[in-house]
Amino acid sequence: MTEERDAKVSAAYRGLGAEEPPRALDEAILAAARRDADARPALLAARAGRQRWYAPLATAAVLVLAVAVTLNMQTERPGIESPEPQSSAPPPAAVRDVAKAREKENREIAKLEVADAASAEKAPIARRKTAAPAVAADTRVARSKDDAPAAAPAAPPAASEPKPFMAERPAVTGSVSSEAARNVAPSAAGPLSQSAPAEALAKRAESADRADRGAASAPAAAPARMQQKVADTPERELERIAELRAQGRHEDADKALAEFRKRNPDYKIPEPMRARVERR
Amino acid sequence: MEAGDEELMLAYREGDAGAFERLYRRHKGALYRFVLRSIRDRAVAEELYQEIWMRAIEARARYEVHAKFTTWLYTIARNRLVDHWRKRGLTLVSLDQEAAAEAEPPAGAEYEPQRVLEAKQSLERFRRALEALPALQREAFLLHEEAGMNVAEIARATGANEDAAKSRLRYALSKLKEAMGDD
Repeated sequence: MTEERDAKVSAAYRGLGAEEPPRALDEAILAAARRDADARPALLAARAGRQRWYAPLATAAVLVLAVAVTLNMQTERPGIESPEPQSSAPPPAAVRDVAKAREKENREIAKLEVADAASAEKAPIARRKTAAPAVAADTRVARSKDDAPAAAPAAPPAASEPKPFMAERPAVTGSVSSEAARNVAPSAAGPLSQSAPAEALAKRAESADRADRGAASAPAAAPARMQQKVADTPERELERIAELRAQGRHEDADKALAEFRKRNPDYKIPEPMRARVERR
Repeated sequence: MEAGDEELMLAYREGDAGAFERLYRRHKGALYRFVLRSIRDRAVAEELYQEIWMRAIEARARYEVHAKFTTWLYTIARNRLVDHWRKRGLTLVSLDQEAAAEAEPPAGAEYEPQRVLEAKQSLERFRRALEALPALQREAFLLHEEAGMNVAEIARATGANEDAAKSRLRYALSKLKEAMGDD
């Protein structure tokens, strides 16, 4: 019933006529459609072309950037990430020089240590020669710690020649480290009467090291510790006792010798040294 | 076998102007009448009709087959008509208003004193009854008649729920039948 009535209404509606848009309107719309179809495929093709380019180009750019950054990080000086304060950091070239100088110093110190141990079996004169540079190296380390950030170029000559350590000492001025160096150096070069014993030397070096620790890096502190170790060797101590004996300070020498034997009960004093340290 | 509307529109999206022409010729009359009988003013109707097709042309790159082509096309048309009415300060009445309007006799639908069986007069009454329909009811009826939409499709094209679309269509048919002197 409803369907019939709908059909009746539909028929009545159809009776109203089947108007069509004017021909001009048809032409205008179809022309616009053709224009758009002619123009847009080109745009779409261009866009598709760009899309073909974009993905590989973007990928390549990202890869190149990643490789460049990686290479740059690999060629960076190691230690750039160390906690050294950046504000006082010298220019990279100067830093490299200082690093080289420190490496050489470390090698020299190691050599001296070995030579010192070996010379315990040799002549006392030879021992004197090795002892002085060893302690002077302490001065040099303290100086280089002090001077490196400001005047790095001065380091290489000091490192290249082991002997002029003492000659360079007057150039050291100013900081706590250099002060400590001045205190340490004469004590090593001069007689024991004017200097502290080995423990005192070690303590001074350590205090200088502590005072300097704020500005100094870990690699710089290592040679100082090694110097302290060198200063504590029995040979060195015996050498000082021998010097006391030579100066006629026999009581001091006896005390020092007794103390030495107490500390090193198993140490066998070589015969030439025994002749020098024991009271005749 | 003739290509479907959606197929032709997809072909046009890819740049086939001929596909659009076929599509246009297939739907131009129905859409034109839908607009003309919604607006009444022929000049305005033609302007709106052209704008509707231009919008379809512009939107072709974004066209996806989510529904029937006619649903897509008549949704564009309806949106354009709503814009037009808004500019004129007119709005489509709500369903409640439609119900209220139902009680009122359609304007211009008065019967002539003597029943003349001439077809011309009958059609004139029908035309007046159609014009007197509330906009949403008329829209539902025109979509049903011109676009061949069922209730669900009308609901989708007009953004209404199916019950509302069904109600609108039912009221429209009822009034038109009444105008035909069928009730």
